[in-house]
Amino acid sequence: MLHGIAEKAGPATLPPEVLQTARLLSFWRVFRTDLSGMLGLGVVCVLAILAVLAPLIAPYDPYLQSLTSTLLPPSAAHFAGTDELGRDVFSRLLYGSRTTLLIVVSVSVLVAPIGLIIGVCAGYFGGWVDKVLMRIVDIFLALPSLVLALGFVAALGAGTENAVLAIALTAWPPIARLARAETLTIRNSDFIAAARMYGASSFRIIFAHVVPLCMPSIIVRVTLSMAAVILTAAGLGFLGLGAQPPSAEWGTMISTGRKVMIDHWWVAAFPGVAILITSLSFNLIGDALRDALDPRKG
Amino acid sequence: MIDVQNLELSFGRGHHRVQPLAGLSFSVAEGETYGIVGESGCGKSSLLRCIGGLETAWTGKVEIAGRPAPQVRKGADCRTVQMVFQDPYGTLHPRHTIGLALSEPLRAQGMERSTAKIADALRAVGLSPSFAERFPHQLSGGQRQRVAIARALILKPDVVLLDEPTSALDVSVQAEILNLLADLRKEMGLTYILVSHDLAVVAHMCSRVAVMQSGKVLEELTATDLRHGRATHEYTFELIASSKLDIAA
Repeated sequence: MLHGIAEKAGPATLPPEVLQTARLLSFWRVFRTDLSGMLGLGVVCVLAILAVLAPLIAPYDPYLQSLTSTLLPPSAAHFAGTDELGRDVFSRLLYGSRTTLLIVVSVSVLVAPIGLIIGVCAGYFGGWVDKVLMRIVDIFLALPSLVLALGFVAALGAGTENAVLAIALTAWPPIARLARAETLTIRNSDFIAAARMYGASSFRIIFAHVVPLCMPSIIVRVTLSMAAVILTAAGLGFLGLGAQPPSAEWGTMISTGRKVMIDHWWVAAFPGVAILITSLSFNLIGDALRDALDPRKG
Repeated sequence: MIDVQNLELSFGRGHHRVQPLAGLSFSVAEGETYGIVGESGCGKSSLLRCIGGLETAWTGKVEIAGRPAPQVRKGADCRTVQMVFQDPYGTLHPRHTIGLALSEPLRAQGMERSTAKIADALRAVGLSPSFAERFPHQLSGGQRQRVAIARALILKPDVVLLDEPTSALDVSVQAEILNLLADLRKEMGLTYILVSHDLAVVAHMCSRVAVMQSGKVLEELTATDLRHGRATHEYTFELIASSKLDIAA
């Protein structure tokens, strides 16, 4: 099937942009056949829409307390019940998805370029550059990521921004390792030797030759790590070091629901299920991306 | 044109020391095709990498076009020597179009880049200018090798190093590429160093041949000597016998 597409893209009269589009299309055709990946993508898309439209969809103000209707079980009025301050859990879940997606997106945007550049430089230059950069990576990897994030947030103060920084601090080293490993296999290829022979600068070789070839595996790795980012963010929230209490955040919601969990399961269960489904979806997307971007299929 | 004196290359220290090149010397006249033969691991490719500036830790003297070649090449140093590699599948960047692959050397050297120049370079190696818009995976092995030759020649070098340029191609394509190389040498006044394990190819292309063994030049033969099996060293006879070179040819 793929072979047919490559041949359709074949005629030499097609400009490169069209060929790029053809490659994207063929990538999409592989991805589309992956049921679990499409399911994950669907869930994440729905979540993104819900997050954007939260003020329109949410039946109640997520911060509105109502001490006459605390800890109500799920009903037609409150789909997911109310918490110990009478706030609507469903509305808080919707607003919480905003925080979660914001954290996921900001961490990915911070982490992918940093990890990529450090890893590619270490792999390409080798020698002492490699030694120094990889020892730094080892130091970060030696500490469990949640502990490192905890320490960082404890030092800087709790809050969503600091949680993002702390998670980013723990998420870049695996990406740097991956980028380095990819670069090591690329840098000995003949086309890199040819580029060195015609006098291309290291800067040009890294950004025009090495980085484009590292991108597929980096994209897969970042997508897979999004699941871990959600869990770490929720963990920080649960420990009271992420988003601060009045604001709706899934981890924080579980943390407050924990006290009443035995008698009023819905307060903790719904944010827990939300975390589960979201991180699972990112994992499914990552797995499907890995298959679709596999060069042996392309 | 090329004068190599006492070239040595070694990696590692103590027991781990390996020495791909153990002090070898030879010289190549302008416009000549000089062949280098020997079995795998004898240092043929290392020799080319040293002359081409890809290895930097060598000692000795390499003179190209009357000027000593530095270990580390920068900027315009890179224009005199270019190389064509063995593997047609690894020689081109998989995500770069042929046009980009050919304009990159011009960009690196700060030379004028134009579609006309790239079209000329493609025509010179017998490809249609429309190939500029294709990606390497849409080309056959022989076409890729032609692009690799075009890339090597676009900077107008004096010397082209050929590292088994046809060993990965099938026989009919091999002949086409060898004839193309021979024609280009005459047209552009190039000097070649051709590394190969195929004695027939070397005998066809080269005027003189060096036989290498463990990092040294064992002996130097003319192409006629090679064809008639007039060698002096036992090793060369073995090499000729194992390659089943038709002595009557």
